[in-house]
Amino acid sequence: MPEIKFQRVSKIYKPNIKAVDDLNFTIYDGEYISLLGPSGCGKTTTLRLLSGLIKPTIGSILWDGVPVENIDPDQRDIGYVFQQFAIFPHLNVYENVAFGPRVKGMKQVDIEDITEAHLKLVGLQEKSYYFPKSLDAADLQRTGIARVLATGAKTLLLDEPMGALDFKIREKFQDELLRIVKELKLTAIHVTHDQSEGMAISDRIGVMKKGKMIQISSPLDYLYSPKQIFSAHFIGESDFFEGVVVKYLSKTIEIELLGDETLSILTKTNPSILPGDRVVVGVRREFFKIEPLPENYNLEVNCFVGKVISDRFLGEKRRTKVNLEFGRTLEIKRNSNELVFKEGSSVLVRIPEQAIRVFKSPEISLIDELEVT
Amino acid sequence: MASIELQNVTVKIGNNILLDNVSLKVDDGAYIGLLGPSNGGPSFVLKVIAGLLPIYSGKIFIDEVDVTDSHPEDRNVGFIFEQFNLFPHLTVLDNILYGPRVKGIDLTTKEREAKEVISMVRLENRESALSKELSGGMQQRTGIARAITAGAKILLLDQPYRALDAKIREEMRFEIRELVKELGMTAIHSTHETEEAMLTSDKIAVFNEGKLLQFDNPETVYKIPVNAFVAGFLAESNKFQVKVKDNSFIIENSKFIVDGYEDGEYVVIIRQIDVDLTSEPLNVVNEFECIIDKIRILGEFIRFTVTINNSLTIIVRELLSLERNNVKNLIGKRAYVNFRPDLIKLFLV
Repeated sequence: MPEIKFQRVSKIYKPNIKAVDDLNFTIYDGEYISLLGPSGCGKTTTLRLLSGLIKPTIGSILWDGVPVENIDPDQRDIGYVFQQFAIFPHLNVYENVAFGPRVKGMKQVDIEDITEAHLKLVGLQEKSYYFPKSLDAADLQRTGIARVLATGAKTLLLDEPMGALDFKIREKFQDELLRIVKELKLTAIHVTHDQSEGMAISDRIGVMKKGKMIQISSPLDYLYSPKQIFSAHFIGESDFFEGVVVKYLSKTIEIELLGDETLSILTKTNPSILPGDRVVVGVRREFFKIEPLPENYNLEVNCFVGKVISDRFLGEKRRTKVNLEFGRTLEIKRNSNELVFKEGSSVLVRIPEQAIRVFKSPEISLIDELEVT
Repeated sequence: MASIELQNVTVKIGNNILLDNVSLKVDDGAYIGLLGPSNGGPSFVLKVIAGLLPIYSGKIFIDEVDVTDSHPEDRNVGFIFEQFNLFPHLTVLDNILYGPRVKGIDLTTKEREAKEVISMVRLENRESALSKELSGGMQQRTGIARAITAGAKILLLDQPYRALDAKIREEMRFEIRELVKELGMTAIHSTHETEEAMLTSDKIAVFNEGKLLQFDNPETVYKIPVNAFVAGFLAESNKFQVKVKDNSFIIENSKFIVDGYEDGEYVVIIRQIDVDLTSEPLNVVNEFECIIDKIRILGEFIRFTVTINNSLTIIVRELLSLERNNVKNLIGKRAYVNFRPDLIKLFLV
């Protein structure tokens, strides 16, 4: 349950190879944080720094205000949960969970109490005498979690804990894990490559790229008010348009979009954007509105005419690709029971003002900025 | 360019039946998705076609030739695994040329071919990189390039994108389907994800416990599932067992109206996405007042757990929308859910 603070933490392996680069953030007491990012972004290194397996080259990590290098790893009360279930194959579930308390030299009666309480916590009382080889992946991971918690861990470090689990049981497992963490008032830091897992389970998410923390905020913030182009791109799906701020009015700005034709959109002002700035406009694919092109229409502000390239039914949703007249293709995610569009049909695409996010153009090209490799 | 046919294929290991009398016909040039739980059948089908798993009974044909007893290397198939299976200390080019080199094939023409394929899979600047230095997506592309260069007519993809980041997965599933179509290859792709199967496949086969349950185009499988398993596997669902009488049934004191079902015992599948959640009543059939207990943000979807009449728990899934920007404030609030009768799926027990 500690508060953990990263102060200007870098881990440098060789000159110029920074596995993590100047990390500054705080994980609050009782918080569930997920770290997301492309492979090699530094999320696992961050977890290893927390565990004490590696030390920062620069900066320090404070554990309730005390620099961690002054605290023995054993005293940090950390539990590490891996994708590959670090449990003993020759011990049954009960003995795996009892292992930590036993090694700590606890009294037999305490070992039994703690073990039974943790088996109950993860719902494995009925399977306590099963051996790992007869458990499915989810029960193996439940055993792993009970085992680290029985050692008295207050901070859980989870490295792809659901990586080996069937897709269909992951949602159930997420609920269980979150319940345990909140019930025991643990602090949890969870590394995953599955965005929806991070979204579902976390109070806040940290998106990392090339060793840097790009943004750290709540799941809803990423969806409705992303702070950076990369996080808007990496979490969920957005379409991006490059443009220039041409007019600055009292409450709105006009942005001229780069395309075959000149088109502009209006959106509310943003203190960090100035007239003449090159900008990138981002819109989530769920937020576009689309309708058949009426026979007579006046093109209102933030409306575009286009032709449907494809409209794919995907069960829980549809994906509609539209070629806009000004030379851009975009993709819209819609409810699967909405109107079906024929290939080639003319449509009107509306971008609601609240859906528009404006970012300053990156110093590198937009393609490079969005690259995930 | 190859058609594939499984005729009454059964695979047994000891007393375990891995595939149970499976018959499946895949047309030349088709892209087929196999859906099912782990060990439910899809991976075994791929291994049987590749000749990596012995069959107990039945026959396998490739291009109408019986290959049941042929060696894997004589079947012209490329197998793409989740774990990439590349040599880490060889370059992209050497990984791709490994097979032809071992077989003693003249490398001058093969190398030119390999370079063309490398550019098709967008690795042209990486041909000299060691495969261990590549990202997961690039390693998977290398594997596909290796299969194409080896002359495979059939690509078997076993959960190929499972280990990849969501962003890479999105790109790859489009790209690889396009590439397979462009080259006229036949592809069979196993996955646990409905969207991946629906997006890439011409037809989908759904398996459970070694049995092929349904094989049809994606929209039909989704909208007209043959049984409760298929209905529930294709989309996250609420599932109940009920007695239908006079076209209605009761769950926990809540009465639901359906249309066109005879009296009897049924399994009900109501997909989470088919439940409509509103703040005001719409005064439609099957509408109930409810309390919102829990809200989970899943990214493109929001999941609500609601309770009707203090007793019936229903999960509702909704596509993200602008209007839900303050959704967390709804926890504990009163709302309304309605269930369209035509979207309630009933299957006789």
